Amino acid sequence: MDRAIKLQLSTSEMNYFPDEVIEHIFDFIPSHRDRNSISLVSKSWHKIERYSRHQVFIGNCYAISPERLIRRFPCLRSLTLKGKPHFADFNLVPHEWGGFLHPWIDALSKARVGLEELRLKRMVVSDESLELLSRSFVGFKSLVLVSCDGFTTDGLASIAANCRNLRELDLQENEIDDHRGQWLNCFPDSSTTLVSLNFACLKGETNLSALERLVARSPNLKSLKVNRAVPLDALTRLMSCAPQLVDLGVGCYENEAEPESFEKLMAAIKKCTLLRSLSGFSEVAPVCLTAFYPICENLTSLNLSYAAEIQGNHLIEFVQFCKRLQLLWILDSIGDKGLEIVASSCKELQELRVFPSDPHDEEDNNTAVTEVGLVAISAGCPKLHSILYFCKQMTNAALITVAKNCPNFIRFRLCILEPNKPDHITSQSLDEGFGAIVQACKGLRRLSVSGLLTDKVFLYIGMYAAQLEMLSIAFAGDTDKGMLYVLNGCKKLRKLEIRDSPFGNAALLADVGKYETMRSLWMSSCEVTLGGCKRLARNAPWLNVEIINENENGRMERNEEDEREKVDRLYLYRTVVGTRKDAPPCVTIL
Amino acid sequence: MAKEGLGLEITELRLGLPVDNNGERLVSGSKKTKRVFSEMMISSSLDTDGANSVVSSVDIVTGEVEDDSVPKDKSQAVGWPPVCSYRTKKNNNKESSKAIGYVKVSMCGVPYLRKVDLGTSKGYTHLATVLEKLFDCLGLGVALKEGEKFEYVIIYEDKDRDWMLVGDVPWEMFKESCMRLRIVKRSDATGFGLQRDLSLQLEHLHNRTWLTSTTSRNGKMIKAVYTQRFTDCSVAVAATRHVIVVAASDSYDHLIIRHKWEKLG
Repeated sequence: MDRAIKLQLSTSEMNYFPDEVIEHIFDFIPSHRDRNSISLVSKSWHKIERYSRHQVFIGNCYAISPERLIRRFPCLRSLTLKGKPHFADFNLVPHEWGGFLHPWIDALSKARVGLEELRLKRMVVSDESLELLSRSFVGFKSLVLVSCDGFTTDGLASIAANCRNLRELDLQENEIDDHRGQWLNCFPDSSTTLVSLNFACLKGETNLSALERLVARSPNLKSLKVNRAVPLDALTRLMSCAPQLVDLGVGCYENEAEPESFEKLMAAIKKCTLLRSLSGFSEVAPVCLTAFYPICENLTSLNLSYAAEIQGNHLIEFVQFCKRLQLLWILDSIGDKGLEIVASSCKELQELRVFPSDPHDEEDNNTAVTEVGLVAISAGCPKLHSILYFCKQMTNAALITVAKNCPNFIRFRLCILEPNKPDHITSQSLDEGFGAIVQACKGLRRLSVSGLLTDKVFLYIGMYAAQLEMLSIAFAGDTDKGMLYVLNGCKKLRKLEIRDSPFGNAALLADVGKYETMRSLWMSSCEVTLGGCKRLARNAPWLNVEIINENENGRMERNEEDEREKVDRLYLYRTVVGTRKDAPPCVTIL
Repeated sequence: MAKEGLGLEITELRLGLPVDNNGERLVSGSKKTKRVFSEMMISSSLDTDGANSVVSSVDIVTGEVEDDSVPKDKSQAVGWPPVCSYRTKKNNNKESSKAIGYVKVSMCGVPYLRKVDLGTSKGYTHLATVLEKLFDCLGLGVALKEGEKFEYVIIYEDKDRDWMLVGDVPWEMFKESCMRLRIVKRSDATGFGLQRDLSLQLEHLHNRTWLTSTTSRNGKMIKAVYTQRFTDCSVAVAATRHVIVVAASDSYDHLIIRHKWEKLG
């Protein structure tokens, strides 16, 4: 807000400048939050800002309608849309809940917006939408789909065939129906503009010769991530004709490599001196990781979180030479010892994610990580600011040490696999440990808590986490007070998601106005009742209060209108366009 | 022939998931009954009256109801741990995309898992050689054959989620029913499958009688379809999809499986 105020003071002078100059000044302010502030300064600034805004970010596709978006920003070129709530990633949201892309493409197409870039997260995308997209926007350059579903490779074929200026096609973790067609063949021979191609999530066969030809005629290709259907020798050929690659995702090599093929791969890899980022490796024989030794010192980003076949010792051998690593995503099979080695080798590390290789503890082996690994990383990596850590156990002492070592955390997400697990040495709750984190990390924006936690941890969070924007709570707290501490204390809170915690109507209804400052609230398996939700909906017409029912067949079949009935899943969000019309039967909007 | 303590329900055959008095579904798997394999091993060596306390897990008797949707304990709750479904699916797909015949092998004290392909394995001896190579542990072949002198024993989990000693059944039958393998220290496995004596406990919960199992992480329980307490011994009969067991002992709280039959077809 400071910047906007300063600008406001000089508005009177600035009004002597023509609009184009002011617009040019605004070009230096890309952050959409700052642009939102600028648009509030005066009517003329609002107008100038509107027409010069090219990038728009919409965190909840139901907060606004496509028509209103286009009316306000007619010169839109880049749009980011997010659909389903975060917990949809964990199967807590019915498949047909919503988040459909089509109305947006339809409206943008009709209004002849010059769309160039579309980034979607957790949206339902259809082949028809992709086809319409590919035909409607001549200058379309970039399509990024993250955790989306509803489309097939036929949709991809439309994009490939019709988007003449396509630079980026990035498919991350989507559920795509693979028709094993020839979508790669659909890139016309004249298509040479590709910079980034990621189809790692496709499950089917890949036309290897089409892929090779495409890569060969794309001199600007910097990022290539292939799927499991690309074997070792094909990968060698691809890398040979694209030594300029910066970012590579490898597929699957099911069989052990012949020594000759392996030599050829290593030779091709050696030539990729610009390679900085490596990922993939699912179903890969460990020896193939060693093919990348020649360039591992150059790597800044390494994602081995799908490499379940590579055992801890091989991971450690490789990672310890990646001295420039800034981002590391890995499985817990690396173990505490492995993390200690990472801590001593990777001094540039900024972001670490450690995923569970055995989430339900079925193997009963001892390779999961513990507080020891976390403490080692915090001690060894001074630049660490983001962490996602799945572990078997934790202690307050460890968290306090971590807080002291790393006061710069922006994102701190800790998931202790067993719910309600206390400090395994003192058997106490982990309130003090998390309290230390929020107190020390003054810039903390995202926090996920786990383990045994009482209301006290939320008192700490409310008191200290002044910059917190997103908080995830599971199996925690004792009474409504817990949730109230957070709602009252965290002034910058935007997203709050809670599951299996004893928070009820009193907390939900205490400060209805708070939800206008937030993007959304999710509560599942808590103590809120239908009556409470109804009251909320009555008092806050600018909120959509959605009840997602357990039985997906009908709108609250049994115990119809029983206000004392506990609500299974509640999702509420602010909106300027009222109740949405596309909700399925299992969702009731109050 | 005294019938004591259990009431008339004992002789009544009833099927279905456990429910409490209010008709609410009872989630089995309280921390009391669920025991992890390692805990069970420890308690077995601490067992003072000498009865084998190693147990097998068995399916809930059901002709009608699928119990997979009932979370047995919090760690099996929907969406927990919070790992993206895409990531979970990718890991699971890996399992099914591997050739049938691959089973995981773990060895106590070794921090990593291996896999062996039973499909290409020719027999117990060959399997033992493969395992020896994988874990750098000579002598497993001897363990299989003689069973008495070597430091380690090899056990496997069969389709019923019972842990059995490798080598007892014909190779073909073993190949088909083996889901995974473990190499454990002999001292940890006393009484374990060596005499095929598997011990169960009877628990009374909400007007029903249950044989509790403990190896499975799910803490599943099997309904006893018949129990009878005599003056000097007690008998219980229980059945799953695949087996019928008859358990008896002089102690009502500590029945030992005396007979186990595989159901055909």
